[in-house]
Amino acid sequence: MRTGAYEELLNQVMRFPGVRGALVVAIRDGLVVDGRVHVGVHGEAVAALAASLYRRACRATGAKRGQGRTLELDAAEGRILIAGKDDLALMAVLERRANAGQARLAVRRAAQKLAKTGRK
Amino acid sequence: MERLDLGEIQDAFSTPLEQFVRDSGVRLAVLINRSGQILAQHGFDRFYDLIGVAALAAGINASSRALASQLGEDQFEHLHHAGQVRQLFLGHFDSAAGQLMLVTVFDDSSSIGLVRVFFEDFVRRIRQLPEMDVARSSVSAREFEAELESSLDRLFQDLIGG
Repeated sequence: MRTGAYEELLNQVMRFPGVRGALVVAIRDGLVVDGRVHVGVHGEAVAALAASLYRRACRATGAKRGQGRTLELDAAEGRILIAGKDDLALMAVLERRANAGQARLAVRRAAQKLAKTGRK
Repeated sequence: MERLDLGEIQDAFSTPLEQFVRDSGVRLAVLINRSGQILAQHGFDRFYDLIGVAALAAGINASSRALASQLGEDQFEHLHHAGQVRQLFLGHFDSAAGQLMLVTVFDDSSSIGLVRVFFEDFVRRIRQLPEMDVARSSVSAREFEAELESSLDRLFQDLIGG
């Protein structure tokens, strides 16, 4: 997957051991704007499904458009972290062995810079 | 493939289409061939709406093929129109029954990303249908043109009350 304007943000997330992918995703469309994934991670499917869950979670919790929100999916083989900012979300795909605390912090920090980076 | 042959296998298309609708959360979906012949559908209440969408989608597909050809492309991969509330996705694929097209309408309960992901699954399921093994492709360019014209004529007659 090609990287561009968001490369620095993606690198901030990908540098942790056990992170299998980092994606910048358009929340409404569920399409990948930019991303890096390891072989075997279906980035487009992760983006579409996770964005769908994120939208529903925001709707269910009454989060307004543009408010930053985070969502975490915990599964047997790993977890997905999602942090949104305006119309974009930063997603990270983690192996079970990954340090979730560090990755969560990195995803949140990177997400805060999403809108600013897109306008550069 | 002749209409008669398609009629024999088109019942098999319903299950993959229903699965696609469930997975992707779309509102309306119709599977057609290049001529606009309806093979399976979900969500349409009124028959004439369905005929209209099928005929127009076949027309859009024909136009986009012509445009792609002018730009040196064989054919565009997908077509996506986004409105304020509803969005339209038109995806085509080759099969043993010739080129087929999925036309689907969705709103906020789905997304173009989801539709694209589950469209890939849908195509795989259609191609794996046992009924497709016996399918023969024999739609000629002349048949396609004649059937498309006929479908568009029917649609416009309905629209203008002719």
